[in-house]
Amino acid sequence: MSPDRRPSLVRIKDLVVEYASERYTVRPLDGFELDAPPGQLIALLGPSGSGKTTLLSILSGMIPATSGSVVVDGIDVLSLSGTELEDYRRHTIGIVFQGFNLIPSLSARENVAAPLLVAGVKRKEALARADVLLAEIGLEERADHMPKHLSGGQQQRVAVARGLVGDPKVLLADEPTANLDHISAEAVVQLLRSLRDRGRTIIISTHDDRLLPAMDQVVYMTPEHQAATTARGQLTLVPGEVLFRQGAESDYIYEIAEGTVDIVREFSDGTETVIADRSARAYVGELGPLLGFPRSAQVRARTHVTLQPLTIAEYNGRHEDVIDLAHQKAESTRTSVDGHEESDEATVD
Amino acid sequence: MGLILLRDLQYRKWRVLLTVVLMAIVMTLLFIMAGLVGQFNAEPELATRFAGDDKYWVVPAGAGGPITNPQAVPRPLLPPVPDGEAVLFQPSQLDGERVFVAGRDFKGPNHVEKNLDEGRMPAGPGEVVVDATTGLRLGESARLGTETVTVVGLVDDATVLAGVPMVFAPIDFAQQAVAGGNDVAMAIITDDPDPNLPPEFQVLSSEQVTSDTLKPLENAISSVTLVQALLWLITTIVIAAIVYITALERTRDFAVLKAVGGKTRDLASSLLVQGVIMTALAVGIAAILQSFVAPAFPMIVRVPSSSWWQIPVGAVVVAAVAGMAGVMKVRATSPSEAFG
Repeated sequence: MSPDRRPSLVRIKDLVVEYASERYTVRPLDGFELDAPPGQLIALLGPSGSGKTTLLSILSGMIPATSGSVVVDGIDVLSLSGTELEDYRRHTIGIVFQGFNLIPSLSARENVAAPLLVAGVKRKEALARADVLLAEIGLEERADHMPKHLSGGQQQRVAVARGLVGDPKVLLADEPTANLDHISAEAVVQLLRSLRDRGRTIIISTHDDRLLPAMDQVVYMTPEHQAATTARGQLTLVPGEVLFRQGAESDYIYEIAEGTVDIVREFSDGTETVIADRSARAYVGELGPLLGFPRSAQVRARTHVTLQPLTIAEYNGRHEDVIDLAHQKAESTRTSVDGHEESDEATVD
Repeated sequence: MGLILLRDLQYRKWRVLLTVVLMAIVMTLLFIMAGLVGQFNAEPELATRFAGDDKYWVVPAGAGGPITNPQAVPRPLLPPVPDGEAVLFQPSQLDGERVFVAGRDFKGPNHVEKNLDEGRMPAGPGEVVVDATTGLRLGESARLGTETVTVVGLVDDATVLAGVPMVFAPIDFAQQAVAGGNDVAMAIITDDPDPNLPPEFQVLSSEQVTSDTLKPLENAISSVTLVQALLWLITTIVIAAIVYITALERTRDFAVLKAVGGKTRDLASSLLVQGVIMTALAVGIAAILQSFVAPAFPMIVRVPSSSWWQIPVGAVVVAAVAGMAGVMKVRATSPSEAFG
């Protein structure tokens, strides 16, 4: 695809979002960048927790960012507050929520008209606008139906119509095809593409990579896997020396040859606590590289320590025998106690 | 916003109905309690005025009022008061029911013509006027003390001591029927506010007699007032609970409406208005319902005219205050919650 030369309708620069969760700090967005010209259908692709919904919340001015800039249609979103923010949500963006989020007490028509009704638009005028949109999405026959009497696909289309009722330039859709069968999902994607063709910028979050061919731009929300692939010699640490910090990229898995390390959880208030320790012949930091997650804790030498860094391939090679043995042991335990006792050895990253 | 408010009330119609009915019952009791207190306060004044023509009362000193502490004095021992009229008050029974007998000279020069609901004033021995709550009708006979009497007149609002009906009879006959035929009286009524009296007698104004008559009811009035306060507390809790539960249930709705540009102030107001609408409906139903419930009470329920605006206004204020818990919930709801 050739680079789009049109001016960006949505421009995000070096966006950082950081917040405390269960006392420790998480950073779902770290230096995020996006340029979205008008008339594009953009997918934010990533698993749960990768920051897709956080980004949509930032774009809709619902949560603050730690740093960076977000400009939508020339409006500095992060500087808005109060009435400016309400006006921005009414006129500049439309939002389609995950799970439809239609108001159960309102009919399809009234749900579509709801943003206008809360904005003080006259009832007759708001409902007339809703009728036009429902006709555009082929649901005029269902206008008086309550949400519970609509199928999932119909509810999602009503939700899209509601997002469009203020005639926004940007439509944000959170998992618009989640929980829909493939026929309904296709209808929703077709609707989004037709809206894109009329000049709107549409940003959707999804974890369904089947949608990607229908997109103009795909933003991968998960950082590329950084696990190490080259072998490395042994390391030695003196007491108190840090092997890796919480939140760091996960490269190697370490096997402890000698000494003891502490696994330490760092909290957002600057405090920390030792959650486990590991000694000779134990592995440490294995799940981060395997799952592609950042380090979930700090590892620090308690004594003089010697460690052998392992790539995933090396670890798997060494570990296969251990896994086989563990399976055999588990099987024999189950058989011997007639299914009433299972091996429950604790494992820590 | 009005449409969204209306639709939500319709959507939760059964809960709204149950809440309104519950609050209407509580508020009916509020009206009844107000009516009982109203009657407690009005009854002595009406009875005193009826029995004593709104004049001054000469009674034995230190004996209290003539109704709460009727102290029989032989008529010859009563002080001479120009234009004074001896009256007899005596608790007794009429056909086995508790009554309070007032004996006067209804044909005397001091007598003020009474407004009866039916019939006429007693003209001779054996004739009585009774309060309508005795259940007797004109022309009916009944046993008063040792004598048989005939009802010649009926009057409303002539009760004392929380609903004890009064019986009015000529004083000579009353002495015969309920005082063992002794020539006794409890007080002299007079137009003179400061008659020349020996030290063993005192003069009481009509207001003082009224106030004294209220004293035995002070505990009852305090109890009813406490019940009223508890009913207001129940009303507050019911409204607060319903509005808060509604706010909890509608958290996602409020988040969505905020996310699409709804103002927190408008959304919170709509929640308060829901509470106020339910309360107003309940007050309306209660105002009607109390008129059916009140006759079941053994004493007259006299809702003071002030209560007809105090209770509705109080209920609306309570609804608004009680709804604040829900309003706080709306305020605390972040539009980002709409993203789930």
